[in-house]
Amino acid sequence: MTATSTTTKPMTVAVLGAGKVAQAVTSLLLRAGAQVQLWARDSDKAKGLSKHMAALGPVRVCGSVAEACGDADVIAFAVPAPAMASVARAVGAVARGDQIVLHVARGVEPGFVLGHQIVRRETCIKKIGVLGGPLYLDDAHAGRPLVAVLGARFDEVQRAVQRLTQGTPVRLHPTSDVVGVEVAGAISNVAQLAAGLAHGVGLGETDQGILLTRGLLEATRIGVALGAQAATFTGLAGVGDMIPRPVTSTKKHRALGERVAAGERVESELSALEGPLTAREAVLLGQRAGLELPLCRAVDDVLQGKQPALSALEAVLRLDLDLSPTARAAS
Amino acid sequence: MKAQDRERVLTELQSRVTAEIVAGAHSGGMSVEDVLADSAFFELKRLKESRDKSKGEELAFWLEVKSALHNKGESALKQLLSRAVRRYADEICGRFDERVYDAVTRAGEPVMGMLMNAVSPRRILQSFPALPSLDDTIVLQGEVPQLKRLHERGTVVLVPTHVSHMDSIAVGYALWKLGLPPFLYGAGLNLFSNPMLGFFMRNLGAYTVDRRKQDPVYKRVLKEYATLTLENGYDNIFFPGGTRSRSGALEKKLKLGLLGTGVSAFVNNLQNHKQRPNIYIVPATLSFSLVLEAETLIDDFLKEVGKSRYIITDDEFSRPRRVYEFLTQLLSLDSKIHFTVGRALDPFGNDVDDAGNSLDPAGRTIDPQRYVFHDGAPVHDAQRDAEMTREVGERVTEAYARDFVIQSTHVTARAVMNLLRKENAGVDLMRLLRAGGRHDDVPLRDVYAETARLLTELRGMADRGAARLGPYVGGGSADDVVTDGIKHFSIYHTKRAVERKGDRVFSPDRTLLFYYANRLEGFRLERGLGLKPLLSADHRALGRGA
Repeated sequence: MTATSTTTKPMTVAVLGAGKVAQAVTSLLLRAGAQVQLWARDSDKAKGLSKHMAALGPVRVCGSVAEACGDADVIAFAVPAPAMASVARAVGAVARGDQIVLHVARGVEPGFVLGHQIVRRETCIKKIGVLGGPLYLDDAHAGRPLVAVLGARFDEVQRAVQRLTQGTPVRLHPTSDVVGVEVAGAISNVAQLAAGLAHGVGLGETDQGILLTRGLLEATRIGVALGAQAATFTGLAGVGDMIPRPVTSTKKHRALGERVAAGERVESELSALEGPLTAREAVLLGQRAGLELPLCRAVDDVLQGKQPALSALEAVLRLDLDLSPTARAAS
Repeated sequence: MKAQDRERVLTELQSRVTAEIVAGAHSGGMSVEDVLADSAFFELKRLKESRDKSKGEELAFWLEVKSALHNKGESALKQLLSRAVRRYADEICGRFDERVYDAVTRAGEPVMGMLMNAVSPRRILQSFPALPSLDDTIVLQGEVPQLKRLHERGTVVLVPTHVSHMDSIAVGYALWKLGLPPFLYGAGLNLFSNPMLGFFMRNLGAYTVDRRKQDPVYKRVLKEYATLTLENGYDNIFFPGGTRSRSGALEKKLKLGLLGTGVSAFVNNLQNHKQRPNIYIVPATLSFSLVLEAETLIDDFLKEVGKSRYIITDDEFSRPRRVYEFLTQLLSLDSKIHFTVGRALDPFGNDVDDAGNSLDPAGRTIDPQRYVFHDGAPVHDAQRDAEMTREVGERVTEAYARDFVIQSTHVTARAVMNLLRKENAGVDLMRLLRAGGRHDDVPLRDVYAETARLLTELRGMADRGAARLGPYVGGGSADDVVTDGIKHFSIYHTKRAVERKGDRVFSPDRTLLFYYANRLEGFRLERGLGLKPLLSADHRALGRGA
């Protein structure tokens, strides 16, 4: 008996969260014929989403994470990065080794803990997939394929997601480099913040391009230091994510950068978005691992009020762009 | 293996491997004919180079296979394949004398004593009647109670570090002391060449591994044999480093093939509804102050890449007098051999509690069977199992670094190595080891200071549970550690790794110094010193720019 046998029994998927990502995921899953069990911290939002989806199929709204996940084949995290840990902890109470977790988090926890590491720490689940790359939800609305990278070490995860996306406009590019996809996604927010800052202080598109390129380079450095493959960053999860258009989350980060540059008060956004914390944690990781990350440092300094945006970014722009992925700080 | 199981296991082994290859051929893999052609190619090549006088029968068989290749039908080829598999299976399992097994396991005579008798011809024993007592020499520590309980609850795969052929004897002795029956383990064919030792090894659980056989079918049979013994409840010892560490460093990269038999056996057990399906992976470390074969091993490591010998047949272990000298001299210093049992893992890398339950990272009991379930039933999945095994491998190497007992010799060698490298900055490591540098000695007080620095680092790690420290290293002063280290280096080895002359310290044999210093590679003890790692990240080659 081997795992290639497939059944036609519809898969049960727990969707955790009721935001924009949860909505997109739910609509895709219903179209693929999966049974969706929805939980969100805000139960009214969950009910609203269920009602909104009624035309596509039934969505079971659950009162607890345990109820949503207990008998699910797949658990899709569609919560913001700061909520990952607490939700994962609740999943851990009912998790089983044959379940699959998917997440789209583009941030880190203090200590530069990545999404899959949070799931690993809080649950017994090892079969984890991270969706990254452009993942531009508006494409799906416009009838274009929704393109994403699926990073998963287990082929089983790739097969399950293939099954779940059959007949939907999702176009998935598989990779086993989970760390690479996660780091690329997290640092892209920092790079977009920098680009927003640059725009805000009147720097031109070339300078913004250089900052984004440097962001990719620093993502590669961090990724390679954490065991990712450098090639992931020149692929769809890195370059392919940066070129087309800023995705939902990076768009917010760009806007945040512009507002900071304009001198607006942004305390609530600083804690609600993933980018500021990611920049901070990247700087700390760089210190621990001896990585040179001037862009992350500049963004962190500006957000902390340690440096004005223009001079911080100008300093970064003057640096050589050494594209070697393993370049380290001179120690 | 017990006689009552032997025929059943071998028959099952024969049909399983044959059926697997035939099934592979039917689903687009290599045809039976191609598989046999490869086997014949590798075996005829090996036999051509072999000087074994009794190879005639083997040669005849493989020539028969070769001539059958182009003119026999499929069923005849299948027959031949089945015969080839059976030949390998018989050779691996070997002959077995139950009376010896019973005598040894029931009578309770110390296995070690018998093995020592086997290693040392009677003549030597008679001339040195006072063979040291090993009873006080081997320190058993760590998760010993858990190991005993898991042996009752399921089947144990013990995975020790490997530096010396003394390891299998020490592990065998340790298991006997713990009151456990002998575990099965694969031993290189060359170790069976000593008639006495071979006889006992065979009868105490060793099966034969012939590393000269390149035939993929042979490797499949070997792996499936290990899987089947696990399914039949035989505890196994695997040395997952694959071979004795050549560099002296702890294993960082493991051979996952054999380790992966744990998951395969577990899935088979579930599919066959076995009463005790659980398989437990138990890391263990062995720590000697000195290593019997150190000179041969490090010499082999430093040979140009590609020229190192994977199979060494003429090392210290094959010379009884060397073994005897090693043991008597080591024991004369009251030196202990530390056998440390680590926390058990399930075949998916999860922690296991004392009752044998798998735990998640939060310490909750979980059902390990679920990892192999697909659509509600246990299934094989090679990619999944390889990934799980990779994780087990990582956990095992972490356990090695945590549980290995660090001795004075390791710290002293590391301190002197660091100082010599600093004194000879810019000198290529190979040159430093082979020809010496500009400065061949260092002041004793510097050795004390560097040792003190290393001890501070190591004791910090030990406090966090990240390292285990041996005598002196744990509580002694830097002077104590260096004195003990130098004392050990003054015995046994032909040339000393470290020697003191007045207030200067030399290294008469720098490759030996390198060997013992390597044991502390990978502990990140030289941060901020400007010294590059001695070895590559997997500990299998020299470090770049070292």
